[in-house]
Formats: sequence, C-alpha cells, structure tokens
Amino acid sequence: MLKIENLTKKYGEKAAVDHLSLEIKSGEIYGFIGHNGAGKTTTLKSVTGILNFDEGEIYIDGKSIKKQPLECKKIMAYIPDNPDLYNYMTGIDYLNFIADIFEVPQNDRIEKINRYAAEFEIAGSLTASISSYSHGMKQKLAVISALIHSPKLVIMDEPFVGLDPIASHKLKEYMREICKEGGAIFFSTHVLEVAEKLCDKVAIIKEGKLIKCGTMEEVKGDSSLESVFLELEDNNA
Amino acid sequence: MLKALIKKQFREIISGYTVNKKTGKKRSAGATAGLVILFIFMFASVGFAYYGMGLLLASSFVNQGLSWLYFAVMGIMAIFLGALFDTFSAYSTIYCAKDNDLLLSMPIKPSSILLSRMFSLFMMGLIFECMVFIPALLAYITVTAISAGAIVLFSLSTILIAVAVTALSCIFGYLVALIGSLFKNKAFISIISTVLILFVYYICYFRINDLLNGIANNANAISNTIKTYLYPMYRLGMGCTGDVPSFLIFAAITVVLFAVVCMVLSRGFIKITTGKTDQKGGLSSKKSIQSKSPESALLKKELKHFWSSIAYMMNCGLSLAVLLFAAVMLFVKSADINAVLNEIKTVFPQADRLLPPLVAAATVLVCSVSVISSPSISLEGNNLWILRTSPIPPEKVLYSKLKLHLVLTEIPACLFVISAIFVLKISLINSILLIATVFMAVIILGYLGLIFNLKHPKLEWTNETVPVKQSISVLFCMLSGFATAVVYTGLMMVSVFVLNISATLYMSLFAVVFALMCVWLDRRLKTKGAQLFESL
Repeated sequence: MLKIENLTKKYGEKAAVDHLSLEIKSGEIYGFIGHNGAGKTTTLKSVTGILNFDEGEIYIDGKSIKKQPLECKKIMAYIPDNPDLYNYMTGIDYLNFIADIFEVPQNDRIEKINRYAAEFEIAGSLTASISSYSHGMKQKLAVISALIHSPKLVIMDEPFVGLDPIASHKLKEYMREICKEGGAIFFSTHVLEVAEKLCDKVAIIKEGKLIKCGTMEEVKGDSSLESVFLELEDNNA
Repeated sequence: MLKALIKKQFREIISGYTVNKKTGKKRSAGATAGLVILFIFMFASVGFAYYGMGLLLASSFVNQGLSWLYFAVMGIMAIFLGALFDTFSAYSTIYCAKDNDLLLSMPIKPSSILLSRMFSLFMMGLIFECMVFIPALLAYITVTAISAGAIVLFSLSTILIAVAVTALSCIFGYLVALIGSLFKNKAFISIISTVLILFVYYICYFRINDLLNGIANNANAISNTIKTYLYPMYRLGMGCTGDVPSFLIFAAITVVLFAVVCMVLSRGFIKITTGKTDQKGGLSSKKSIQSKSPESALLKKELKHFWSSIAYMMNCGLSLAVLLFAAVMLFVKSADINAVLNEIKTVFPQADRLLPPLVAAATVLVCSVSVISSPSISLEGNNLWILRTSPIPPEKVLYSKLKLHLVLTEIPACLFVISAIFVLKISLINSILLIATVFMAVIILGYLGLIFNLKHPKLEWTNETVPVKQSISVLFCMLSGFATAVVYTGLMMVSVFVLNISATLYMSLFAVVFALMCVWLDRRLKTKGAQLFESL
C-alpha cells in the first residue's frame, strides 16, 4: 500500500530524513516513533505530498506521489498533528467541502457524516463555527473528514492528542476496520503503550534515519516497546 | 514585558518586508531598497495631492491671519484619513490575532497585550497620517515662513495625532467587536460598518473641492465652529504655530483620550477575545448536506472566506463599493456631467474621442486598489495542508481564487462601464471595446495578484490584516494596476495626438494586447504558478 524508497529531505544542509526506506502492506497498522525532531512529521508530510523531497521515491498503492499525486491523494487521508481547519466554516460546511473535493456521493456522505458525527459525539456542534471548537473537537472533525471518503491509506500525525477516551477508542476501532477492509494505517505517536497495543508493525526513527523496523515482536521481543526505544536511543546517541 | 510584546509586533511588521517567508532568509539589499523606493513613491503620490490642498488652504488662511485654522483643518484631515484606514485593521489586529490565546495563557496583563496590538495600529496610523500632515507643513512653508520652535511642536503634534488616530480607530474596533460578539455572523456587522465608513468617506471625497472652497471662503465661521465644537483641534492648530500652552493642552487631551480608551478596552478584552458564539444544532440533514462539484466547492469556500473575513472584505472589497457607488452617481449626476463635458468640448473638441479610453483607464485604476486574488494564497495560512492533501490539481485551486476575484470585481466594473456608456453616450463599437478592455484588465489583475502572491507568499501570520494589508504581493499588484492605467492613458495621448491614430483603433490594439496577456498569464499560472503552489 505504501512504499518509501530512500527518502531524503534536506532543510538547507541538514537532512531531516536521510535515506529512509519502509514498506507498509494492506491490512497493516504501522506505528512510527521517534523523539521530537527525529523526522517523523517530515516523513509523513512527504508521503502525503505536502512536502517535496530531495531524493528517493514514495509509492501509494503502486503509484508515485511525485508523478501521480492526484491519484495517490484520492485514496489517501491525512490528519495533521495540529488540526488547523477553516475557522470561517461550520463543522458541517467543512465536512461537506471535503466530501465535495473527494466527490463523495450525496447519500453516502449523509450516511457517513451522521454516523461518524454521532459516534464521535460531535453531531450537536456541527452547525457551529469551527472557530468556536476546542482542540479536541477540531481533532474529531479532522478525523471524520479523513474517514468520509473511505481512504485506503490513512496517514496520521499524533492522532490521539486532544481526543477524549471515547473518541480515542472509536478511532482505534476505525483504524482496525480500515485495515480489515484492505487498507493501511501509518501513524506517528509518542504514546508507546498505544503503539504497542495497536500496531502490527513499528518503525523507529532517529535523526532522520530508520534505526529499527519490523513486526512488533521483532522490534520489542520479550521486553516492552518503551525499553527497546530507550535502549535504541541510548545506543545510537 | 510590554517592551518584549512591542518588539514582537514590530518584528512581525518588519519581517514581512525584509524576510523571504519561503526560505526564511533575509531579502537582498536590492530587494529591500526596491521596496523602500516603492513606498516612497506611494507616499509621494498621495502626499502630492494633499500638498495641493494644503497650498490652497494655506494661502487663504495665512492671508487672513488664521494660520492655526490651517493646521487644525489639515489635522482633521489627517485624523480622518488615519482613523479611516486604521479602523479597517483595528478589529482584526486587536481581537482576531491568532496568538491571543497563547499570550493570554502567559503571565501577561491583558492591557499589555492590548497596548502591543495598539502599537501596530499606531505605526499604521502614523504612516497614513503623515501622508497628509507632512505635505501640510511643506505647503505651509511654501506660503510663509515658520519658526524652528513651531516645527518642533508640529513634529510632536504629528506623533500625538497618531496616538489620537489609534484611540479613535480602537473605539470603532471595540464597537464592531462588541456588537459582533452578540451575533453569529460577524461579517454582517462588518458589512454594515464598512458601508457606513465608505459612505462617509466617499461623501467627503466627492465633495472635496466644494468642501475646500467652502472652508477657504468661510474661514471665520469655521474657526468659530472649531473653537466651540472641536476644541482639541483648535489647540492643535495653535500648537503647530508655536503656541506652547496650546500644544500642552492638546497633548493632555490626547493622552487622556488614549488612557481612557486603553482602560475601557482592557476591561472587555478577555471577554471579547475569548467569546464564542457557539450554536447548537441538530444532526446533519439532507438540507445542510448538498453535494457540488469540486470546482464549485472551492469557489464556495473562497466566497465564504471573503464574506466572513472582516480584514479581507474591508481592504479588498473597497473598489467594488466605489465602482457601484460611482455607477449610481453617474446616472444621478448625468445632467451635470454632460453639461461639464459640453463645456469642455467647446474648448477641446477632441475630448469626445478620448472619453472611452479614459473611462477604461479610470476603471482599471479603481479596480487595482483592491485586487482580491493578491492575498488569497497567503490567507490559506496554516490551513494550506487541506488543499495540499486534496486530490485537486493545483491549477484548479488557483482558478478558484481567480474566479472569486472575477465574480466579485467584474460585475461592479462592468456595471460602472455600462453606466458610463449610457451617460456619456459612447458609440456601439467603442462601448464593446471599452467593456472588453475593462473585462480583460480585471482578468489580468486577477492573474497578476495570484502570481505575485505565489512568488511572495506570507503564510505565517497572527491576524489576517498582515497578508491582506502588509504584503508585498498586494503592493506589487496595486502598483501594476496603477502602472497599467498610467501607461494606457499615456500611450493613448501619444497615439491620438502625435501618431494621429483614432481612439477606436487604439482601443482595438490594446484589446488585442490585453487578450494576448490573458493567454500568456493563463499559461504562466498553469505551469509556473502550479509549480510554485506545489512548493509552498
């Protein structure tokens, strides 16, 4: 579903991501962990086509994000770490806008908006202006807008930040549902317990370089993900 | 604390002009010098007009021994101009800054945050005010001598006027915020207030000659009125002539006004800034969920942004109101206009021929004041990720911004031109050429606005006034429009009077040039523009 080959992104002379390669198959929830400034967000933004990268190639469902960006974006959804949404719209306006952009059929969008809004407990606020939303409400709206076109690949940057426990639980359910239907999830997180419980595979990045990746068992073995992460960080210091 | 906040505000203003937002690097000395030259040019252009007014008034008042009245009247003009333009920014600068929440969460007094915001307004007010008040001094010096002491007091008064301008615009901004906090749709309030301000402005603008002559001919009556009803302005006028006690009185009044405004505003600052107009509603129904094509959705989004943003609408919608107002005024005053034209034709028979191209140039000039597309990319700000991750070709996103400009500008521009065609009885062929010229010029300005904005984006801002009012793309676009109007008029004069080319032929040639420019700019937007958008 997602193949990253030798991805390199430089800011000036400094490589934020340095020859990173990764493959995520259909049905996988892939966690991406690393310290602040390790290159997680740069990698995720490169995958979504927001950032142009210097070297390497990224394939979404076999299509190059560089050569066929629109085809890739059609099957992908992105939830950024800080959900900056259009404050001049109401929640329903925003969802409708995203549904229009992804050309979601009328009946399908009504059904999805109503279902997701009810499940994420935001239905009552959809007609309010986004400017009046809390961070958590914006995050919920960003999640719903990401799910509305039934993406095959969902890229998420710290998706659980700001979500209440019920919404977090719902999101995890939807993540599993997407994977069950043949999709894939690639998300970054600092909450290692979540990554450990939720992910099929995990990748650890440090200073732009991939230092370990594989199935959860391969990466952590008998110990916890936290201890492996801390050990790897120390070894590579 | 306050010093640090003011420094932050100052950096925000300056960085827009000295730092390339794309690379984060400082602009070259040449680019900065170019900008300075552009500012000087704009300042000089506006200042020259006020210098002319100043000469008329100064020569009349100085002869009557009413020098103070001259400074008082010019002071009123300076306050009016400063407050008018500052008011457009006051609301968004003070209450809609993105970092209000961040700053309020820190151990900072709300009054300090408020004062730092007011500093931005003070700087802008000072610039606008100086466009009037410095030429006023130059005009005065041209007419009569002035003492060194009076120049010192004049300079200090200039700063005090900017303080008064800041206080007045803040009062207006506060009222807009206060009323706006009671309504869901703040834009409605802004529309009403914009219309009111523009109405006052254009009444004064169109009657400026009558007003000036009235003031010059009724100096004694006006001096009494000012002494009675505008006492601070009387003291300002006296102060500028070198009267120290008067200056001190004016200074005291200004400082008290400013202090009262600060006190009142800081009390309601947190309430208004953090006030939310949450509206609970039911679950989404078919009525609220209507599907559209991606192109329509993008245009609707742009329209929604325009109508909901006070800063965007107030600053970029100015020419639309002017054109609509002018279109109506042309009809209302058609008899007077034709009478004046007939008089001109008796002295200058060729005037008739020049009317169509002159109407075209005037319309382009007005349209260039507010090119809606020029801040449209910058206004995406932190929301840009939404469009960048959408399966929409970049050119479609750019076209949606262009369409917004065209939808909002073409209609008033064409209405004005049609009104001029009927009132000035322009021939059919010239009418077609006139409409075509203006139509294409508006398209060109829209393209230029987008291209300039793509080359000079300003995506990091704390309030929408910054990309709308303090950005290079807006300035470049405005100047391009001015230059187009000037070149069009200049070449017309040469063609008609020197080369003996008919105005119709001239307009036809320019229509072809404009059409070619539209095609070229369209290609440029699709290729280079799309690339630039992708690299934002």
